[in-house]
Amino acid sequence: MFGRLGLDALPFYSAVAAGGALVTVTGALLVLGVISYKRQWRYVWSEWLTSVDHKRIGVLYVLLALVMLLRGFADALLMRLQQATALNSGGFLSPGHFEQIFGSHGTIMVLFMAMPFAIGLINIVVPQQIGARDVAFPFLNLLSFWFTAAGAGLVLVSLVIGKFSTAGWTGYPPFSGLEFNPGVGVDYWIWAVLISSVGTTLSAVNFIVTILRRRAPGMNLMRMPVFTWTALCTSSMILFAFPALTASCGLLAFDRLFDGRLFTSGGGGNAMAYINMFWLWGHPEVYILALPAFGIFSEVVATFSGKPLFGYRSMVFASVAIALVSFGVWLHHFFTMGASANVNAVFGIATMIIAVPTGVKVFNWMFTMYRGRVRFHTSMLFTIGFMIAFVVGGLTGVLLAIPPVNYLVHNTVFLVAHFHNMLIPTVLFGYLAGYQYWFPKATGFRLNDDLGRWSFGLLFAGFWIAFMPLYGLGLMGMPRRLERYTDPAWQPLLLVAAAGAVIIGAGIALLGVQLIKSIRDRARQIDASGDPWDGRTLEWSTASPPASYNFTSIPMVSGRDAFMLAKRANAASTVTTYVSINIPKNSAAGPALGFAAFVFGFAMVWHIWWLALAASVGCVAAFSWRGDPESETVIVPAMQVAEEEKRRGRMAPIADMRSP
Amino acid sequence: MTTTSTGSSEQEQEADDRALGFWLFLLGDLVVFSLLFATYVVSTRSAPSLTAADFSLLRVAQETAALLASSFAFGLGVEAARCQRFVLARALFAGAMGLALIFLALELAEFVALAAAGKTPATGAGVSAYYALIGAHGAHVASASVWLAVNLIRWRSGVWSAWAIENFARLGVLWHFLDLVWIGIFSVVYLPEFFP
Repeated sequence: MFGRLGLDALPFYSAVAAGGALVTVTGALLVLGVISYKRQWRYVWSEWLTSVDHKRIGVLYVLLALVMLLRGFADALLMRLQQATALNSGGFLSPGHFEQIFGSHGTIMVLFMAMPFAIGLINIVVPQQIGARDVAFPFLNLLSFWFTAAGAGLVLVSLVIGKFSTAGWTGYPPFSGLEFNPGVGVDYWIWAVLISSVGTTLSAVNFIVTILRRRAPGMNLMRMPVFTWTALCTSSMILFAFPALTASCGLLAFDRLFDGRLFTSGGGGNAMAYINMFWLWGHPEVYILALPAFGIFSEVVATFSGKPLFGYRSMVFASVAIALVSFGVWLHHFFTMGASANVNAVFGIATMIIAVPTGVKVFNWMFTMYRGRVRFHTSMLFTIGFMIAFVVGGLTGVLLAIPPVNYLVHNTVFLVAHFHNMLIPTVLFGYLAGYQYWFPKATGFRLNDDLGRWSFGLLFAGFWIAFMPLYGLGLMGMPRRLERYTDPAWQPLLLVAAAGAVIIGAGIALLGVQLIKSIRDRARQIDASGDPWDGRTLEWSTASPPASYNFTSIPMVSGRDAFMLAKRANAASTVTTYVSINIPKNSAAGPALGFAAFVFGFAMVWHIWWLALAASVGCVAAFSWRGDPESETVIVPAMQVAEEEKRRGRMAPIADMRSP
Repeated sequence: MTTTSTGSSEQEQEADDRALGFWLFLLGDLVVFSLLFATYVVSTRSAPSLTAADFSLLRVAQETAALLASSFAFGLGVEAARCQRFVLARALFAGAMGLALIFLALELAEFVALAAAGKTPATGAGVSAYYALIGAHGAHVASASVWLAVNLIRWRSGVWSAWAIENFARLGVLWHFLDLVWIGIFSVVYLPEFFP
């Protein structure tokens, strides 16, 4: 009836694990309790959880990302403290628990922090940047969010019921196979990844169609803001890369469910087939995460330098080049696999080639700042910090791209230092820059800039202190994922790294303080104009926060930086009549299908077959039962549009972007 | 932009968008299948795998015939629906559904026979890859059948809206796509064993 599920699934094997479970459950109960106490269920349900408004969905994605950032960082802190103390001793974490922690840290940070953060920001911004009222498939957008949330839910539930994977975030067989890992941990990992990747793939389809087909008149491809360009590149990469993740994880699930021999040591299995497929997704994934961040930096640097972006064309070509080349470098994750020297050389050279368009971008950002009137908003600080740290990470990346060097530092913490040196400046700083930059657009008020600067300072300093020692440790030969060690020479550097992690923690805590304080002071921080930073692109032409339909009338675009052109030409307010607008209807099917997907994943993990079958058939059937597109929209009458605009203080909306 | 532009041209554009989105989704699905094919080819080269002796040529021929006929019926059904002949369309779709179920039953029978002969996934990587590839295709056919069943329940009688016709046509694209994948399976998995 309940498969493998029993009372022994509760986490009483370790005090730390039980504590984590307690925090998770308490946190969830607290959120539910506060909503109930404030009697806001109706509001939360109808305005947020079932809303198909792309801005609302984007905010939900960002909230999910911030929650998962806390969880992923808690894992990181535990690892750093363990390694700082585990010289010749077991530290405070058992080996099996330590393995779960580094697995969930990587999985969460890549798939449930970075991905939702990126897709959230894309959701909030891209439709507005291209002058569209919504994405092409609003319901699908909601569904994508709920599938991602279902995956994240599985990871969180694994903390309370059962265990998480001990096979790392990459789940390499044969260790992740049935023989060495018969428990539920790897299954939690597999089904969380598979379910969320369905959501991500649907998002990609949605944004490709939105960007290709829903642009305002006059906005040809080479007039699109760079963030929109990077969103298009990222979506296309998702569409081609995520199927590889689906295949690799799906086949691993097959091996585990049916006692297969695809990736086992015996029976002719080939673990390298899995590893190839995994990185066929995994390497593009690095750029799937990086490109939107590059887009954010491009927007921020142009706005706060008060200049058009330097080298727009080369920026676009660089993004597309990165997107294409990133599919040809996956083998550099396992130069030691034993492919011939020639194969390694090809992939090594391809890896170095990808540094070229990336370098072009760095120069473009610098030249944008050159002779600009630079304003040091928090998002600009993140951008500058990124440029400095990113170049260092890029250099160590080129070092790693040389196969003979790679053999020497393979699987050491040098690698760990390198990819954190890429991902923290790019992804974390990038998305936080976007968060600080677009926050007023999403909410209607600005974040406290002083606290933002302090947070940046701590994150930036903490990053160097936490990760530079790992380069040294890697060269000293320290392997990654060590739960204990005997070399006393490593400990001083590990203590420094732990201190860095604590400083990063303080930076993250300040982000929380900033958010709370800004919400409390929202009356003073209000963004009445809708354009707090003297922005250049169309999202700043709407009110903050925008009406559900974004634009009262679709803007006409006559060049790049369309909103700046309109402001220069003083082309505001040529339309004073309002028309009625079609907007998509809320849908309870989104959260319902997401819940069904969660139940399906949970049932697959615990081998509750009847439930898995019911949930999957229910999911497909409900998804097929899609309403008539006609019946899925409601009309906002012109009167209501006029009232809405008046309420937002936008009696004279900027409607016609044509220069006079 | 004025109110008048929210007429049929916008609806047509939205229908086009849905078509484009669905084709993009199929593109992603195609990548999954190509990786499954690659896994099959790699796994059967060096590991215990199935041979002509394990397959029944007759059953494979029946499966292929059922699936191709189902696809043909579906294509005719979409044409009939576009010509507003809804009773005929419903009959053709029901036929397509029946043939797909026959295909699934045959496939299941094949799996059962193989397992009874001791050829389970645990036999070796080649056999595992066979089950994975054929199973993934079968799971797709089963999901598409659930979609078709929902549509047949939903539009039982009367005149279909433009959306209903579009919905069937969209499912038809998936139906034909799965047919093409089967032709790939037939050529890569079965044919080389019978005619080496």
